[in-house]
Amino acid sequence: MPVRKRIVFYLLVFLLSTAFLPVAAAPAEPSALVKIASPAPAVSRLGGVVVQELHSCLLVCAPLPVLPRLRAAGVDFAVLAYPREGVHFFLLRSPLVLPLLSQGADIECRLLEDRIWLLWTADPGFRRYLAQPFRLKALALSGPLAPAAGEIPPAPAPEYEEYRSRPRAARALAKLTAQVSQERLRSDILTLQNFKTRYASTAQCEAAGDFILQRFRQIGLDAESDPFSFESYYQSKNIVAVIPGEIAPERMVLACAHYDSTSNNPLVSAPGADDNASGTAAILELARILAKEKFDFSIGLLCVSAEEWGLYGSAHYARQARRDGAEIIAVVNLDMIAYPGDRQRVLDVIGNRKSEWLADRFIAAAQPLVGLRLAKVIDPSLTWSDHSSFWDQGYAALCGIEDSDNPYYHRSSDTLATLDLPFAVEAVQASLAAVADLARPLNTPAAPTGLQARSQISMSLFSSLKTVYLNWQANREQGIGYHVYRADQSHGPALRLTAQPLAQTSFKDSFLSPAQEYFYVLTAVDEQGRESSYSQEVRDDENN
Amino acid sequence: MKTIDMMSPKAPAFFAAVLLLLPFFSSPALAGMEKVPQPRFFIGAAAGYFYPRQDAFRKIYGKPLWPVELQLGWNPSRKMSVFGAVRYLETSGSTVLLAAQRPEEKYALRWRQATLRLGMNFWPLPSRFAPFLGAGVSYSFYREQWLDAPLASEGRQAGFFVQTGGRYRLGRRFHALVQIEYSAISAGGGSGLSRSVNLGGLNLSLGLTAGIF
Ligand SMILES: [Zn+2]
Repeated sequence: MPVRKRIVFYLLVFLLSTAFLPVAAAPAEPSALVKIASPAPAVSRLGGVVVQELHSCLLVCAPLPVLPRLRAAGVDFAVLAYPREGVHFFLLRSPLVLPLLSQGADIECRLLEDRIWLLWTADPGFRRYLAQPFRLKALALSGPLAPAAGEIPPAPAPEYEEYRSRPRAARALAKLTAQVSQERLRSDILTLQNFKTRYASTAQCEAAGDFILQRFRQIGLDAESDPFSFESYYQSKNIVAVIPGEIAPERMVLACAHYDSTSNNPLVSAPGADDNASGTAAILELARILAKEKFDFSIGLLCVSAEEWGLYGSAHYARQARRDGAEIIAVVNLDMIAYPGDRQRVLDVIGNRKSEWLADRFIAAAQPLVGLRLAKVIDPSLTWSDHSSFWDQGYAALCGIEDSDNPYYHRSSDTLATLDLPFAVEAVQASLAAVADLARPLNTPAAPTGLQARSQISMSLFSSLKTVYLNWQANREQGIGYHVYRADQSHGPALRLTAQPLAQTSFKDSFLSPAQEYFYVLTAVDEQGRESSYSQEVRDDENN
Repeated sequence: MKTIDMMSPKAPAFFAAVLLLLPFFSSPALAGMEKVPQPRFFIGAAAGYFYPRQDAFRKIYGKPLWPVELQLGWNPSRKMSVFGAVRYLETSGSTVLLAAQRPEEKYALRWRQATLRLGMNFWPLPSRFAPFLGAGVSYSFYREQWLDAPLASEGRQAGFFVQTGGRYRLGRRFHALVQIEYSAISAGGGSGLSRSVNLGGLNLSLGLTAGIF
């Protein structure tokens, strides 16, 4: 179709002409890239822009006039490079003494901390000098979107609710996770593997993207392809689908995985079954199951490309989201979830400090439903997958990843045959539970918080009775009413005491037996009559 | 939990002493009138002030209590009379709190008590003002009702009383009566205020009797 080809051609020309700007453009004014031991709270105030937070240090882009100010303030720093137009900067993770094959290449690299290197080059073909297909992250040094770690407030965390006391929500999540199909995961991983390679920039990778787009649309989701360019010459696309929220669709829980792959021979053979057909198949399975349900918040399902080149697809998406002011509550990134190795069956849940609440909440929602162990890891230097692009934009994000060293990693031998599908099923179940929980299943208001109870015994000559006075915090949503429930035993069957939802945030339960202990829980009810899960339980004299 | 708390005995003891001593100051000149034949039967009415012996009762129904009584009596001799009576007490009060969490919490209460009484009085010194000593048994019906809660307690209980006082002859048929009485009516299990409720106490009353035939 010549018309379509022409459009694609012009689009390509246009994109190529703009592609370089966001990624490789040097800072607007002459600057230095410096390394500063962390923590260094004064850096931003003095005019430095934190580009990357690592385990023990910060990478800071500082306009040259800022350097004397840093020195005067007693900040200890080391200049690594002076960025200029056309030079790309990467973080690279290598266990080798030197990650380069050839000394003579126009590539510079410096060890920043344990196994983490900064690499910079003006040579677009620099990858051929790398000793292995390492994990790479391209750094953005300039522009209004250059990340300022620690400065962008994260999207507000939804209130944490103790999971134990939410039996209805837990049951709903269990119903969802029971639908995860090993056969579907197997078939999707196989389909993705059968593209031979999904190395970003290849036609096969584009075809894999089309396959994902088609699958989203078959499920009935509103999905689109979002093309982007990287490293001047290349192009790929993210595929994104949305399940719109019912109550607050502007708030979104995002599940993502990269569908591109790489290997020692990426143009020919990069099946990438574990890395990351497993995560991509998980996103498709989440889409299939969650699309049938309703949630308060929107759920975004994102398959990104060019992760293996340096997280370009996710950086593109996250930058755009920040620029648009998107309210992404949480990002769950899945990358390599089907090779548990010989060790215990553990799925690491990796977050930075701002995302710790998310890791906790992921584990609280998912751990009761799966046999594999979910292990929280809080380390801002673990930047080797797409969650890192969201950290850079101040969003709460985590990565679910197998806790093992896959020997087939970034090799032509990373195939379905090497995977442990029952492990993958559990990893998908865990992610599904966490994503659904964050998006609020059952489409209900939040359970009320701050329930307090005081009891009072009144006596006459011959008899006495107990009155229980309850009060709680008002929900943040508008138009919320409350139902009060009472049980004779802790967590026992509860009797609803309110015929109609209460408008006020207090309740008096009268004419009770002083000899009996009572336990109370609350629910919130919205204007459509949808009821939340139970609040925390209180005993009648809990606050006496 | 509080246990039975006996009333402070000071004030009633003073009244009792005054009443017991009154006959000894009465005028001997009036003694001649005792020769006049007396009606064998009499009716009477009395009312007075009741001071409950139990602290719990006083806390709940704290205001002055005024029982009323109707009597029917027989004088088998000049020195003795036998009587039957019914006494009625109705009052209101309000609940007390155990470990106040909500000091404003209050329930209104109503107390009703009817007591059948059978007693005997002895008149050792018949004269125009004659002191007497008496004792008897009682049988009470009571009901405590919570006015704004679906709660009520009722019961029946036997008890006893002892009394003393004097009567003053106003004419051939009429006497004025003053008496002080101590009663005990052990009504058993109560609320947290008292383990065992006693409905007795001290009663100071004034009355009038009329001989009928
Ligand atoms: Zn990967």
